[in-house]
Amino acid sequence: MFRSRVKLVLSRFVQAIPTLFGVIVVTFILTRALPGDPAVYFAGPAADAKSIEQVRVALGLDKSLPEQFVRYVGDLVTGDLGDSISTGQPVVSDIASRLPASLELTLFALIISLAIAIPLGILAATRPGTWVDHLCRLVVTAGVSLPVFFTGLALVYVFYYQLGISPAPLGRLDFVHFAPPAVTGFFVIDALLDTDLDTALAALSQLLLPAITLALFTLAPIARMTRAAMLQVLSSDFVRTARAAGLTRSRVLFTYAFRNALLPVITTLGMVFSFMLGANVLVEKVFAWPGIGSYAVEALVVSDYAAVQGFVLAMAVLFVTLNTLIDIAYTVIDPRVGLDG
Amino acid sequence: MSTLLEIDRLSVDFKTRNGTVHAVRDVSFTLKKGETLGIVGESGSGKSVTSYALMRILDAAGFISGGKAEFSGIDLKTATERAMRDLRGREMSMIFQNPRAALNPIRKVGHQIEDVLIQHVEAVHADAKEKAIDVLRQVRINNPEERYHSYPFELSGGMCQRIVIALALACKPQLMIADEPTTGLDVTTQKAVMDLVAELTRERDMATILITHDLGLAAAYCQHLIVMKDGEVVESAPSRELFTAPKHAYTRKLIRATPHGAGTIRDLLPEDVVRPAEPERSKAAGAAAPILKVENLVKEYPMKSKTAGWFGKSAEEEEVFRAVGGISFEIGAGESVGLVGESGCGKSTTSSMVMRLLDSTSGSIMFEGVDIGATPAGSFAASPLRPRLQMVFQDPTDCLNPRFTARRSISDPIQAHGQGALGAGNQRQGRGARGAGRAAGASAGPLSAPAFGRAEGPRRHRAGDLRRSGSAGTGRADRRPRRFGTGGGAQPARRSEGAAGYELSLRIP
Amino acid sequence: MIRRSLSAMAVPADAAAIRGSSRNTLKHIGYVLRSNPMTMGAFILFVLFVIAAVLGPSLVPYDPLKSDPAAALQAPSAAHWFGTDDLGRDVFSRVVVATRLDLFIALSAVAISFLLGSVIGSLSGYYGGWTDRITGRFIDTIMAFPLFVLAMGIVAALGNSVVNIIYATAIVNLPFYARMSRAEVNVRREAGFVLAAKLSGNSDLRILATQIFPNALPPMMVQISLNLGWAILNAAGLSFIGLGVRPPTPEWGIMVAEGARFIVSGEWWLAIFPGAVLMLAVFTFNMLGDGLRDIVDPRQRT
Repeated sequence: MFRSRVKLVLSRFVQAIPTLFGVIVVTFILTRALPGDPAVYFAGPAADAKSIEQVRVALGLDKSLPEQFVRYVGDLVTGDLGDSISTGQPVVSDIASRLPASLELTLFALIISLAIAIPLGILAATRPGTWVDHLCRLVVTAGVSLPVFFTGLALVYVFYYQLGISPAPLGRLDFVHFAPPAVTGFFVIDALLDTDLDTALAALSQLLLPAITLALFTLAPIARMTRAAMLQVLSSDFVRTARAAGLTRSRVLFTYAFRNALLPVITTLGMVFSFMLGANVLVEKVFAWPGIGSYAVEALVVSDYAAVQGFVLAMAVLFVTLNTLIDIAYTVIDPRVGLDG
Repeated sequence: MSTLLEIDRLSVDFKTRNGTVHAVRDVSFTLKKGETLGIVGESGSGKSVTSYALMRILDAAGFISGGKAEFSGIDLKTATERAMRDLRGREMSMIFQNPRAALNPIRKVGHQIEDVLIQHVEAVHADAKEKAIDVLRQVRINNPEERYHSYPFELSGGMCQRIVIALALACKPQLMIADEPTTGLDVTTQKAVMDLVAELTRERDMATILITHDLGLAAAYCQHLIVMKDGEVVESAPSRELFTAPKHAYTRKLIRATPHGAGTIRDLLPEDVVRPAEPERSKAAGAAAPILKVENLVKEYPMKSKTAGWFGKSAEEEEVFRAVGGISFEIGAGESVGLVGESGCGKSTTSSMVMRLLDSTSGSIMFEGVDIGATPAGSFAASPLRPRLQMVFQDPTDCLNPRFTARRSISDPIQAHGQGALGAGNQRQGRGARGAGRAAGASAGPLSAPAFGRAEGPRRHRAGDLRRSGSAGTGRADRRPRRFGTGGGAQPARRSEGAAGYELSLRIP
Repeated sequence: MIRRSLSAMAVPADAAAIRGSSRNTLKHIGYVLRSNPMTMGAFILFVLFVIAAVLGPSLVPYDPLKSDPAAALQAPSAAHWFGTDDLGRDVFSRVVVATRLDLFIALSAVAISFLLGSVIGSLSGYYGGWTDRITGRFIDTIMAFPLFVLAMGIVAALGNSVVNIIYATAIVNLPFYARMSRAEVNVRREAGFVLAAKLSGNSDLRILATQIFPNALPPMMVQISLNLGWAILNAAGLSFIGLGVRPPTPEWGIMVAEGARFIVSGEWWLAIFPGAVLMLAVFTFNMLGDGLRDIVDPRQRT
């Protein structure tokens, strides 16, 4: 049994390979679908016909599409995503240096959102018709309607301009503090590791507003699914059996109902991540957060295509990885996975 | 013997969005230690609700609205939730229909039994496993040590029901309520499960309430029977008396509907209806050439070998699953043939192939001398023989398009076939169907009031009945039992009451 | 008149059935609207948005593009309900006029993805096999991207224009419709009424079109309504980061982006009003979808 589980977990990784391949094909198509002649574009505005031709050969654009694709995959394998026009750096190093900021924001938001949404969903399902249920309903319907950039700005207006309890929405740290020595790349954790409480608090206060903005957005789908799954499980036959066997309410609720209800919630997390990584871009722009999202937005404005494509690919790889992790979590929790096909 | 359970004029109500529903009204009975009581009735008669009310596991909307319910002196109506929790599982327990769904799908069955044992302090963590295995052994589960680690989906339906019984009996309660314990199990398993329940409850001198829609089953296992209809008790009597001298018309109907040696489908008609004359048996049956002749019919499904390599063909071994293995039979004019077997034996597959809904792997299907098996199922729709092979399905709600009116459901096939394609005998059927269609259109109206609606159960049922009685009425059914050779999975038929609307129709039970 | 009575005589049952069904439907919708004030409110808002989209430019008090430096950055007042922006344009007029463009983008994108998605999904759900595997792979690949990020990538590659925003939104929405129609068709593929229709000599495509797909439509309608909200958000998000719509065209996302600069100095009305209206529009479609779900299937209430 244990062995077959391990095998299943490994097979989840294998299953991600064709998806990754699909992702690479799509990003390749996106690079070749650039408006106009990519060679003209990459040669820069001052280029003459000769230098354009040089660029064309250098980029391999004179070859057939399959050959270009092989070359593209080869570049990817060696970590070459091209150079960014705006920063002059390789796109890979740009993204690598900015990724921790995005991850810190996303993970922190996810934790906030899970910590609120799951208890809210459970309470709403176990106390239908009460104020918790109505609150949950409100959060669920209002939450999915909130444009993140709007909530972000509204929060900034209230907490920075009106109340003055939030720092200016300008990045990960104000100018008084210096970035802590990089260990994890997460400022709050790194500052704590450095036992620099002051910087940790400063980083946290910068992080709080964008993370809440992002969490508000993802709260709704998680709470909605938790509530629905709990309601469904609570009316299922096996919960009735557990009640008929005289098990305590907490045992029925957690060992029997919640663990089963968790499965659809985990599945929803895939969709939540998709929304979250997208919303991340908008939140980073609102709060001038120096992550890969705002990098991509800056690149888009100046038509820095290599950077944009690098960003799309990085996000897709991140998302595929997260989905694989979700699949694995599911495999570990549900013994039925993988046996019926 | 002392009275264990005393129910007096018990009523249960449900609060719904459309007001209060009286699910159970004035039900009374008593049960002594060691007694067996059967509560019989169709779905919606309130029999399950009664038992849930006794266990106090009704939905939030349901509550006991009147009467008395006492279990060894404890008032079940007013007992605290904590007191009820101690009663449940320990003093009174319950087993359910659909045993696989009744077990937590992601928890090992052994742990589920342990939960109950520990809850009622029959075991502590240290000896829980040992005791759980012991309980498994008591319900005659082979290899209980191994089964302890199984998940419900790894066990058969019958095995799951044994686990549910083990859960219910783990703490040696005095009363067990069995709610349709055999529904959804195969016939052979049903008997084993019921015998086990009977034996275990007798051994422990427990009182049992068996809730079932199957009067025959209840009569076989219970001393006393209660018949319920629309939330009320219509008759209550010792089993033998109820069968020999039923007082209520509904009981008589139930008894007639219970399968017995000489029963016919006509027993299901209401008592006061004028019965049509028995259809004449075809004199020439068997003598003339058979209408349908099936020879060596085989259906195999390819199964992907689990050892298949990444890139397909390299390590692929073709394994096949044989759904139907070389079956042969024939049906003469005016005959009906029954195809009997457990679920999964291949009877549905066989009929789908005969009906040309499914391609066969090999074998021939001769219909009136034409090899219809040669026409692929995909293009048989255009065959002139299409209207002459028809079928009545299992679930009437499933075989009517929920978005069609009764009229359209009936008129569509007539238009699709065109009158020309129908044989002389079938035109009558067509007219009958149209008549029925008009009636349905006028009385039932659209199947679903809202254009998008789906939740119009009763009306759809009515339409379904219409359709079925329409085909049975004009059908020519012959009750001559007939044997046929089988090469594979399907069991030989004994007898059947075929509903033959068209020249040949198979009914899938 | 005569003709009408003739035809009424010819098909009495049919006409009665149709009358009965549409009357019942209206009655049921009326019941749902009355018993659920939220849906009622959403319905009223929906009508208002439609009016704004159709008649917007002729209703507004000011030219949405005309700047007036003398009246720049005025707070909301009787003259300027939503205040004025940094160029002195009336925010209210701009917000109302923007309705048409925002709804147009969302509606066209959803229409494209509904049509394409339901055809792809129905075929793969009905035929299974290779059709299913190829489309499944295609859909999975789209779903392997965070959808908004893919939309960014597509707009970046195809070029920065409104039409490409529509295409991008349509492509990222496609999987929802394809998956949904596939699932809805798949569960009904072996249903009794489908087999019965086969037995009465209907071809596969006919069965798919007349028997199965109409049954899959109601849940798809709910999906469309919920999806419209998401499509509006998506399009506004893209223009917020500077894609698609170019200034000075009034559009909610771009107005929020332009107003964002002034939030930190306290001129909140520039960003908050278009943002709030955008939120209201999304909310309207979500509530409408929930209400529609109640009409379609009362049991699915969650």
